[in-house]
Amino acid sequence: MKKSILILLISLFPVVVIAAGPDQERPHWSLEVKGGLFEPDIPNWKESYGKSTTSELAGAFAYKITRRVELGIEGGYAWASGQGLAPLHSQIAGSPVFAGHVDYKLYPLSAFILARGVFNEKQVVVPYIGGGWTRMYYEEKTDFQGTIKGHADGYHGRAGLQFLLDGIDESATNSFYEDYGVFHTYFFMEAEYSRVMAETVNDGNVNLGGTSWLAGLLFEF
Amino acid sequence: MCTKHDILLSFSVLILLFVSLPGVTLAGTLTVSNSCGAAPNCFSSISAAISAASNTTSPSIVIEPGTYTESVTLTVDNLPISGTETARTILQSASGPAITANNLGSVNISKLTIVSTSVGIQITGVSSATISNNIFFGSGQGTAILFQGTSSSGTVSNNTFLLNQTAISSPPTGINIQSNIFSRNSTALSAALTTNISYNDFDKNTNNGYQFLPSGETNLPNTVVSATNPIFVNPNSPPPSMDLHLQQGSPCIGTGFSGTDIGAYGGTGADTIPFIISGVTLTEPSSGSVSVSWSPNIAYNIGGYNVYYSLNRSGAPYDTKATLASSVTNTVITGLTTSTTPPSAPVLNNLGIGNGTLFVSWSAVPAATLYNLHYTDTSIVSSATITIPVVNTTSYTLGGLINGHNYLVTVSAVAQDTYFFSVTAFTTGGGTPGVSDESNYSTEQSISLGSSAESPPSNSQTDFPEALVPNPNLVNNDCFIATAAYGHYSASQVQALREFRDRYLLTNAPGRAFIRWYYRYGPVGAEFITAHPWLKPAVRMALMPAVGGALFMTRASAPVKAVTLVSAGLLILSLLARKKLLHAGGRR
Repeated sequence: MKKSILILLISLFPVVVIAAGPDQERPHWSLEVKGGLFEPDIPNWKESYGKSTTSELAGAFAYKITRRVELGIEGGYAWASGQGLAPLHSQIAGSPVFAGHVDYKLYPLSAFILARGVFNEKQVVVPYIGGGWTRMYYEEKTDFQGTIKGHADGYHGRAGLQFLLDGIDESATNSFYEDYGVFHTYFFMEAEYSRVMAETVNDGNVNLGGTSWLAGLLFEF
Repeated sequence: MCTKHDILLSFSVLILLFVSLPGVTLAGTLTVSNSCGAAPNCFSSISAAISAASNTTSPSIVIEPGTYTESVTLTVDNLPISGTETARTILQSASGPAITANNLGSVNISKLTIVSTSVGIQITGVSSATISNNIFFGSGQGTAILFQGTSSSGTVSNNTFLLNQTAISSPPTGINIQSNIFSRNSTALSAALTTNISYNDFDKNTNNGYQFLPSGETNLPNTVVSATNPIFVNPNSPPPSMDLHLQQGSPCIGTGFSGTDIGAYGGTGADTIPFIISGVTLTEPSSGSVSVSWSPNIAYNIGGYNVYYSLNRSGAPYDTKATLASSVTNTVITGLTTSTTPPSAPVLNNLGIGNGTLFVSWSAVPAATLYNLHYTDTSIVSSATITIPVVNTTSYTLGGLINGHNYLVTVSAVAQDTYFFSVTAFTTGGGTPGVSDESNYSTEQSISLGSSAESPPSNSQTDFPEALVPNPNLVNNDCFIATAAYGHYSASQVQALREFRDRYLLTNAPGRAFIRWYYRYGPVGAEFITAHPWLKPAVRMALMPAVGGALFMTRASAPVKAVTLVSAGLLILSLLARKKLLHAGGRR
């Protein structure tokens, strides 16, 4: 069965490549550079890290199977510094006592499929939606307690709006195309939700994902 | 009569005038410094100052002591660039010429130490070039000054060229080369000029150094003076330790143009600030006295030394100065008073909690030279109080504590009178260090005198350390001990153990309980193994059965596992039966 699926996929690959049409006058690749806020789904996050959101940076690279559909990979980095819970002190105080220093880092790595609602190459506002598989690498360093590392798998979905910037400076746009082959440059804003369940020591599973609010630049070439 | 059109026209003209005016015009002198702060007209690089000079009336650039790594291109005509202290104003280029001047009317560069293995100054098509009182150091490579095209006039005077491949390349006939020291370059002058070369010292240049002599009878060597070694103070260290001042007996003293010295420290525009003193050491030979010694400045014109010191206050200006002769390189300062007033007690803040640690911090106490941190484990009866001296900080992390044990912590301040010393050299009496004829202050040294006095203890704080729980309290995918023993998280043995954990331990309650226990204590073992690498082979041997078992359980097919387990069971049963038989008196 697996072999049959593999053979089917391999036989379909040339069709995909032909459909992509390298000679067609349209972009075939996209590159996203983005940053923004990440709001983790982890319970009591704000108590441990001081605020409900943290920073996130990410980049994505995708191949456009058609003008509207692309497959790609995305890598990101989110980080926060906070404190750990002191259980015995909390028990004595009757309320949570936080102490020490904890550095928490996430490195999400995703494979995605994305659909962009492009119906005209000069379309100023383009909606898009996508999603895919996510592997979340985590690193949690507590002072004097070493570093915990690991990873967990899950999925994500994202949607946003991209705004064509080409019209702002057409000569720059033309130079960008002639020098680097960039067809279009967009500014975009998106929301992303990820769900990646990871095991904790005592509290069952926890979702390492959450909601990201990101903005950035998209280059299509 | 003013019409609306007239008003509009006047307004437009005013706007046009405003927008057509050049940028903000700065004052004449632009300073380059590594520590500008908010100082006006001060720039962190020479290139930035040159850019600003284009908007400055009658600009000049003065460079404060420091090392500047950049390739400078002169784009402003008639812009003098000068260092404040030749030896300590260092311009070096990572690649290419340190200074490039193309097609300008006038160039004036002075009092810099230019370090380059490529080209020091490259001059192309400049009408008048004045290069004076600079040091060019090439570590045996590169060209100090490279002339290209035509430069109609100018002077290269009172420079010292040390260890360059070529000191001056292609000097045009209109350039006056005067009172320079060419020492240990491969080539002093790449063109054999016969005129405009006078009062120079050519010492140990290996190739074509002075083949055009004796037309310049004023040059060294000549028919009267055969010695050419300039006898530098310290030519064997690279900048900034290199000191190319002249020692007593140098043939370059007073033999330059108009009876001035030859080299970078001669001539009317020379840097007269002596080289900074080094090697200051302090000892306490007896109560109330300090012996100060330093490495001598052996430049021929040093007139003496000033020893500066203050009580309990670091840095200039100092309270007291003692002036000493140039022959003296150590002195004993006596009559230094000390007081033993105990400082006030610090205020101890709440303790910070950590895993086996307590973070202690307290308020600073004026005049405290150190703090004594005292702590006692009150969970153990008759536990001794431990004291830790803490210097130069008001916080400390107590480590190696037992989680759950209560610790009582106090801190006290200790004061001891401290004297701060610095030494300068001067030529003719001194005045202000770093100005005119007195060197900058040496690196400050301090010494504590008399008996110390300790404050009463601070308020006490009690707390206990404990392991913290991060949020989220994630499971470590690492197999701590195996990772420590095999050296890497992705070692195949570690992966086998990890896979075993995921498939056979995480799937049942006893397995999860074991993992929880292991995650609690495994890191401690791993830390111990990492700290004692010699344990790794033994741990690997000990882990071998576990790794083998994990490999078998995760890689072998189900029938193989079943057959093996059944065989092992039968083997154990037969061994037990045999043992029972032997106990019963049977034969082997």
